[in-house]
Amino acid sequence: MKPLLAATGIGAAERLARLDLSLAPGSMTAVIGPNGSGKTSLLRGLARIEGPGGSVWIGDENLDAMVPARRAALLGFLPAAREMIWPIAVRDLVALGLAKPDDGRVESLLDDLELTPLANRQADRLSTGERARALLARALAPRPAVLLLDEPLSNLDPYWALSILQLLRRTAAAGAVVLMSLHDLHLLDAFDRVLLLNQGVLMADAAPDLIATDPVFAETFRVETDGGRWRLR
Amino acid sequence: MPAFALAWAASGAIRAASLNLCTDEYLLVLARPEQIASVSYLAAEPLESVLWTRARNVHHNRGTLESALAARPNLILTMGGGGRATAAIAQRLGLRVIDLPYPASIADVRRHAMRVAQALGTPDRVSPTLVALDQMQRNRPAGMTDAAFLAGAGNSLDPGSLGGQWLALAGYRQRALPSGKLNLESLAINPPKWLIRSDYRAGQWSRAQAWLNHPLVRRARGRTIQTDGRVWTCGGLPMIAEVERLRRMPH
Amino acid sequence: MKLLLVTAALVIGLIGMMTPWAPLRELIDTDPAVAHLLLVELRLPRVLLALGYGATLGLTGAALQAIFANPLASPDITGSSSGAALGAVLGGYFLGLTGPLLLAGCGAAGALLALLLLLGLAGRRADSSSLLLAGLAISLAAGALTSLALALAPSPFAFYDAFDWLMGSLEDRSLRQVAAALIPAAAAGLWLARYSGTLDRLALGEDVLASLGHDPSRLRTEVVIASAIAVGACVSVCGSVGFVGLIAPIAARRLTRGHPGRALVPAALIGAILLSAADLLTRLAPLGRAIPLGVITAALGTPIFLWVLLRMRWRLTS
Repeated sequence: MKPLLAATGIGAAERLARLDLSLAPGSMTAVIGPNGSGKTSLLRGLARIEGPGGSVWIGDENLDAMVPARRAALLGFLPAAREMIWPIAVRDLVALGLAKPDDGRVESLLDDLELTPLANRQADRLSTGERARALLARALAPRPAVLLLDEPLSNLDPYWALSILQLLRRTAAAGAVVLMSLHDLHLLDAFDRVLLLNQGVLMADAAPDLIATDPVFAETFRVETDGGRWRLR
Repeated sequence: MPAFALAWAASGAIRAASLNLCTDEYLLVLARPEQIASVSYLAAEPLESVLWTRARNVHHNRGTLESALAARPNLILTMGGGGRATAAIAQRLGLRVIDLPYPASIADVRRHAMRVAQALGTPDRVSPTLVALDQMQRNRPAGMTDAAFLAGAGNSLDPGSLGGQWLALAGYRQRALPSGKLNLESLAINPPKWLIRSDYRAGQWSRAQAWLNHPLVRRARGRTIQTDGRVWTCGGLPMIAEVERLRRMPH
Repeated sequence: MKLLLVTAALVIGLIGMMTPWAPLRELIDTDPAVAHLLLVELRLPRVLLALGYGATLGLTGAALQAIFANPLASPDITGSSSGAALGAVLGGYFLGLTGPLLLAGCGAAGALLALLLLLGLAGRRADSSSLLLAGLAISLAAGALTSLALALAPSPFAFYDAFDWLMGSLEDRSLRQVAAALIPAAAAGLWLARYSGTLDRLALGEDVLASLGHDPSRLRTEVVIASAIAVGACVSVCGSVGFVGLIAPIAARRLTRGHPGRALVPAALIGAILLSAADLLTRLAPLGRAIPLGVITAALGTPIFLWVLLRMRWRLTS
């Protein structure tokens, strides 16, 4: 199958060695690795925020050559730092993801992420978890072909971690590409494919069950699994 | 003579220092060259003084007694404001002082001229000037034309002021204006027949000069008569020549 | 809503043209040619400047607040108005530049230097205190230097012009001066207005903005340069007027539910209305004396500014 996202030469000096990546439509891929392994750099590189050089293609179109409006329609990015520069209401925040006003879409997203009671609250008065959901809703709003999410599940309680994974699964099933970084290794089974990074280098790229048993995995994280439980090596 | 009087204070020949642009005018017109010890630096400034050529080779002071002492004067001329305090100090130093009040009328100007000439001992130099002034006052123009003096930012004159009196002597009646300023709106609606426009610092940009470039002011060009702004600063003896010139202008 | 604001601006402009009515009415009956002259050469420039300068202050204030991510940023608080005045004063009195457009250029240069200095001192997205302190320092320094420059200027008129420069005035300007101020301001303003959508998205954070294909630093640079040109040109003709650039965007954001970018054009309209109203007040000469424009905007703007400050503090501590 032709990849929906095809990237070559993505890298950032000292943080991520150059690599190539192809993701098929409908796939859900996790990027894992210890802190500082380059996960954020990979996502930012793919979103063309960081690291000059390399190229990213969504379908037949080059991301760098797209006008902002087209990019907004095809790519949804969620940064790890959930900063909000201006306090605007949650509903408006989500609506910013849309090129043309679409109240129906906004309301359904608010509903999916249970943000409706918070719809009129200013974004700077939300908890970290609530803000994460609001920013995710914004990223999902235009139904982008590619979703690049940096730690979307961190600081979320299990209900939300699982609900969002389910939501993302549905989005992928509709044909999108989902790539997200992940800290909680218990959730790997929700993904089709796992990328393992360590110190800026791609160490492994395989299905989740294979990754977990791969010796590289234990070396990278310096823990090993023992019948479903972790312990230090 | 006070104990700390200056050494040269009692010497015979008059050496006069003037600390103010307006007293400079009297000194430069009425004194013999050897009698001029010092004038203020403004007197030698072409943009400020119409007598600047005469002041070129004279010692310049900064308007303070201290700066004038280097020229060893025994007569000090001051005018207005701080002049009184300076006068007091000069007297304690044994120097003769003439402190002239601001002239409020042409008669005051005449009185000042005579006083200075007397102190300098040069009545011969003041007579022709006073004769010319008398003649001008005798031959007052028959009618007075409505006019307004115009300087930067629309500033004008009070009709009863010294400038207004000189203007009257030239045959122009200065219009009474609110706050003594010409206003662009009234210039458009009800302009004076003649605008006597001062060219003081006309070459230097300032908001005041930019005002004079407004289309509504330029529109009155046909009814504008230029005048040398420098003489109007003090309204002293050099005004006589300017008034004679203005008399010959259209009314 | 925008239609309402545009209408209000036009109405207040019209009132400005007609005030004072009595002499104009008389003139229309007696000498219509002079009435026309009065309207075109005297009143029209004033009204155009009130609307245009006000719009510039509102628009650039909104843009600066968006990129500095701070509701207190504005041309006066960031020091760009004072910098512009200094630039124009140095150009006019010392370099002897007389053309209004050249002076506008000097004003723009001064405003740009002030803003660049602010970026250097306070950083890209400084918190309120850093921004306020740096901006105030630059503003005070530029103001003091302007006074010094006026005192030392070759022309003795300079000192009397000080009020005009430091407190602003729209009186007795010619159409040529209006063109020198408002053509650059309009061009820069239209350029900025294009960024309404982008500045809204800046609210999502610089990373998201970058992912959408915009370059946050380039955006910041362009906003700074365009604001400097617009403010510089207006200040070179009218002097520095404060508070309008602070209040108009704040009011505009109330209308746009807090969106900073969408508020650009409404802020321009509100600014135009505010400055025109202040100028009308100046012309009506309350207390029987001419009160400079900047004094009126300060008198009206200071309580609102204090209220904004208190509200921000209350938000932080609540």
